Amino acid sequence: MNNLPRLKEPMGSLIERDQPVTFTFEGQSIMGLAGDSIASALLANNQWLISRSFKYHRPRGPLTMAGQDANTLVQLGGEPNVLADNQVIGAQMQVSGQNYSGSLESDRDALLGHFSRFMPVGFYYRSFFKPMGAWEKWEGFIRKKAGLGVLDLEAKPEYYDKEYLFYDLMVVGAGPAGLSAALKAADAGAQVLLVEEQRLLGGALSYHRFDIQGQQATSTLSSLVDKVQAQQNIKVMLSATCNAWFTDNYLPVIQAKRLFKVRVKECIVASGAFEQHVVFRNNDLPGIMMCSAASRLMKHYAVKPGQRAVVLTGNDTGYLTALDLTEQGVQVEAVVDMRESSVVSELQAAMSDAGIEVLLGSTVYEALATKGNKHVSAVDVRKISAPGEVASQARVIDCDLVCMSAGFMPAYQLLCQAGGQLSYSDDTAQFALSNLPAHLHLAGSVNGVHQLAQVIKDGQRAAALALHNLSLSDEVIEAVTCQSNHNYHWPIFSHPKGKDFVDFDEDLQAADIVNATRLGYRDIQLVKRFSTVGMGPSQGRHSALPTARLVAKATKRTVTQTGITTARPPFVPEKLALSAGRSFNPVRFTSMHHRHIALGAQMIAAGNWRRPAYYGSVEQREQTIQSEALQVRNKVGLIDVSTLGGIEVRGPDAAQFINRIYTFAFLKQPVGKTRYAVLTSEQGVVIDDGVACRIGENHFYVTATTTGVDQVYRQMLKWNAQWRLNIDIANVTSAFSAVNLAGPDARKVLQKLDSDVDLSIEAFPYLAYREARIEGIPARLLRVGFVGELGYEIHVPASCGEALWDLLMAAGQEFDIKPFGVESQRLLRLEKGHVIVGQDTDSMSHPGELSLNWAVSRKKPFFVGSRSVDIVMAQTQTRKLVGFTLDASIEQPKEGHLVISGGDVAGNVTSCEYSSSVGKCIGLAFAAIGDSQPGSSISIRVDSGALVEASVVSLPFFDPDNQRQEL
Amino acid sequence: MTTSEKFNDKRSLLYRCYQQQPAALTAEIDPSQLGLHDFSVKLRYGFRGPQAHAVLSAAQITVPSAANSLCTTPSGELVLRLSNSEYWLLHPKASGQQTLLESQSTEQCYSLFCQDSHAWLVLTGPNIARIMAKLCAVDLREIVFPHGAIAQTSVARVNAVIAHHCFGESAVFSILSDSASASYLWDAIQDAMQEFKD
Amino acid sequence: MKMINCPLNGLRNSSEFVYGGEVKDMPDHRNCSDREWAEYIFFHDNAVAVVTEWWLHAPSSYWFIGERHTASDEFLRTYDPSERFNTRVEFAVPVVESEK
Repeated sequence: MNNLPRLKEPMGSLIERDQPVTFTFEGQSIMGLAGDSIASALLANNQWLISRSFKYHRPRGPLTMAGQDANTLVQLGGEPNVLADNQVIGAQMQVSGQNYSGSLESDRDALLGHFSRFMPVGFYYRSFFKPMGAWEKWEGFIRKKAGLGVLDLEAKPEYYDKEYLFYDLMVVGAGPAGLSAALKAADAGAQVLLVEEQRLLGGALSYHRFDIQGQQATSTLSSLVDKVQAQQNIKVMLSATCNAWFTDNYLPVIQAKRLFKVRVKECIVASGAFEQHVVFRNNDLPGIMMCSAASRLMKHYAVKPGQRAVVLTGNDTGYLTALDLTEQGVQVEAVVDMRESSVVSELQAAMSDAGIEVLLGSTVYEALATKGNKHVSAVDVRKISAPGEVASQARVIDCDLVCMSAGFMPAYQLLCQAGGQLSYSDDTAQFALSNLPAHLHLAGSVNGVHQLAQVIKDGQRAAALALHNLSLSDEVIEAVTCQSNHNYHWPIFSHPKGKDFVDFDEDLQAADIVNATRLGYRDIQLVKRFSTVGMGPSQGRHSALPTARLVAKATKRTVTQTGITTARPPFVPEKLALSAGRSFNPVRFTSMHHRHIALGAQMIAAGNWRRPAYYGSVEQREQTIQSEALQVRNKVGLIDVSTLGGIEVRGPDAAQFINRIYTFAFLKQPVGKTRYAVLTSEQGVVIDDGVACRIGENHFYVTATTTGVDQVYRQMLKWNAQWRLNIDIANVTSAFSAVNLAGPDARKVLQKLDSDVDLSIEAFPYLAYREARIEGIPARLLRVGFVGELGYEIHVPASCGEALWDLLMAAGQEFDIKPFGVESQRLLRLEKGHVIVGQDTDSMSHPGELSLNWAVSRKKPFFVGSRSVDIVMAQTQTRKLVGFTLDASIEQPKEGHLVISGGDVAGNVTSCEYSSSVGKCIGLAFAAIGDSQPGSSISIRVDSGALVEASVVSLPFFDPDNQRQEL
Repeated sequence: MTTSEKFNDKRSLLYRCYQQQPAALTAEIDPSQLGLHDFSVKLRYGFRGPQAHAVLSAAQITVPSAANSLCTTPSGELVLRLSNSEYWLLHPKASGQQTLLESQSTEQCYSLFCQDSHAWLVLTGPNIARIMAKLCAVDLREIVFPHGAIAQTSVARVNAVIAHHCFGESAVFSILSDSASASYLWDAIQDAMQEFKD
Repeated sequence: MKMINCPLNGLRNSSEFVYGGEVKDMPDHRNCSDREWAEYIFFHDNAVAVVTEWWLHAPSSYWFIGERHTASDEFLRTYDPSERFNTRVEFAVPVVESEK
């Protein structure tokens, strides 16, 4: 590669001239300078072809040099779609182009462009929509052709992070408006965050020429930057993108590998304006770029953008760019001004002084290319005869650089996300933003102000508004007016041979937009979705306005009437890693967790909790569950039930409150007794269950399901916020660890330990509640029957949980105690026919469907859901939860399998397991009411598609008289 | 109230983490240095109810005048007020002697079980607000969250009480959070601290 | 992200809050018609208007009442429920069948 000499200082504000950096592009070694972007380094080596376009694989080079277009998306190592005009070069970087077959320089698929008339707008959408399956067949091929880089499937996760930031004021954009706004606010005492997308402060001041002499920008820039850097109240973030606006000034800012979630009281958007291109044939050739891109190349990188230039403009900017180019030794062949007149005399004089020809009322109609469309070689310039139309007489001017400026469109994206409305005046071609929320302000060119002095004043005006809201100043600054008009009204010159690109990202030409309207898509939003215009990485920054103009003209409306497509967040493509970042997935462990791990437990999630499923290898799962269950039936087992919810209700109205919340009667529940507690919603649906222990006259301890307790607790608080009963409600779930010691030998195990409670059946019968000290550990003991064996639920302070586990396991050793997990507990309770709320119930299950009528008191005045329960239970019941058995040789139904009755769905299986104790498959299912009596049979559609017949039996399946739990 | 003679080994739920990291078990901490410390075994009580204020006053304990603020007693105990009628007492120097069943409730002043329901972590060092900004959406910078302030909020998606107070000359955050989530939160805070180490 | 002003904890991100439905007066649950009860349970006006709603600040388990405009999503006021519910609610003991 031939490394061209750089321009002399002060050009090149971003580069270090004495620090060469070598990287590779397409396998070739390239030498740039520290601070170069990939694009500037390539251009400095005369490598203009950087990537190829998405659809037609057209050669593309830099368009904006500011990361605002998709022309320079490259592959950087394993990372696709890197913006070559933003990414700073590093030693040993491996860069390659995208979207080509073969090599970047000679892409076999570049011929696709010749077939473009066979690939009209909406081609894929229309061609592959039918027949069914066509898209699936062609998708792989089309995706490969469409390219978009290569994913590294071996990529290792990198550390991305998130952080909140808090400031009084955030200023988006550090151009002249942003700098002056930040200074004004900070000087008044506001804490200011100044966010700039580029690597340096100044915005347009760092590259744009504001005056003929070329002095204004430099002096203003150094003065503002010096002050900002000296101001302690301003925090500057460079290379940082504010990627969205969310309600109440919640602003995500991306910088490197961190997503900052910024919350500010006031926000000033000084995001500037995007220079717009002119639509003419071959306007996408390498060597054709925005005027601002040429300026950035020279001022930031000291790269000479060409030898012979043509400037195509619709405003004064082009003239100033021509002066810049001339000063840096570029031969400006002509300034082609689309305007008929209106050029100020000073500019005309400057042109003639510099020997630059000005062609008024003219445009470039077509760009001519070197072989293979690699670079612009000349332009076909014609007189404009009517808006969008040209005379037949052509003048061809040889050049290797075309700089264009059709006008400026405000960077309105964040503001539209905030609800701002963008309006357009068809007469003056000017934009205005309105309807902004409070505490969000505009400043500078995004506000339609372009002249430097006014821009600076506009920044101060916005700052004064923010300061007023912050109560830091009462100053009011009058609205700023700006006379200059930057927008040429119709910079679109369609060519019969096309390639007059409206949208570079998606290779959309002027005719594509017009054709979309002819197919009936009049609405601008529908045109966007049909044609994909504005959907590429540059999100309509350059295509939105010409699209609106074309649609307006084709549908005989004004741009004001058609509107302009907006851009939702994010403003720039955002890596998923940034959103994922350091993700927070809370997990809760019981105090016995480490004991389970040591015993080889397989842990499963229960809400946020981790619980042992069973203790043993995954391969031995089924056998382990059966043997754990048999251990409880025959000897003794121990299960950690710490995750059960626990709620304390204390106070004079405790019984009254429990009586209102749960369906059963609790007013007369004796102290020292437990009672089953069912909770219905106001709709009469069973939503939770537990056990209510009456610890004292005014003290209840109620358990709730693991995943239901938070909701139960919140509902209790909400009800009592209305009822005003004299009680305290506390969620004590994490305060207690608990185990269920169950099995015929449970009492013997507990008796081995030193405790101050009489465990005899007479003193501590089934369903009783006692408090005790077990080896000194204060404990709450409940005689429960969930698994249908003699059992003690022992609740202790969480800080003693591990010790309790150790004590019981040691005491149980001589009785062959074994831990059991959630899976065997589910089997054991199923054998007893106990429902699990949420598994065996659904959002329609009322107590009658679950045969819980016995647990509903119809005598008390009220409980939550009582009226609804009355109403639904008075209706004819259509289904019921029943127990069924199946021979073990038949295909086992699974949870969710449908119960079929008379060809219709009658219900579904809610639980089904093989039970060693019963010797059959047992399960619960919703069945039609006519099939719910024991002795009936139900048909279940299983995985294989077969219908299996199961026998409905009475519950429980095991120990029908419940003698074992009452031992 | 009888105190157990046999069992006196109450364990923080971070106990097992410490077994793997014995260095963290140091008794004395330097509150001016970056660090995360487990105070879960230290004594604390909670009381709530219409009479809670009266009960504490009777015990000569001064309470903060507003919800979500704290004050420090002359002996270094922290008195947190979490609502109009809820108070927590934290004893940074005493180990847990009583457990939930032993701290008695009286009529209209109900003891809360924060000794067991909540872990107590203490974050120290010069960058505590910035570390928390990586975990928590509430602005905890000194200017808006001064000494004596309390925030009940979400830290790394776990509910927590954050109390800003001093150990000696150093400002620290006490973080009181669900004891069952303690080891998760411990790891999350350690991860956030990483960039401020060495 | 929207911020909500909790009467106990101040301005916080909306992610700290849980919606608790509209504040509604329960009709006399024993004597109202099925229709009236169904309207209380299931029906919502869904109007563009200021609505009075339950909100929970989850980290402190604190319920409060908010008046919010459904179009602008702006909270006009938030306050402690005791402002609205300040007397103990009683439910009448049912009349025994035979006495009817």
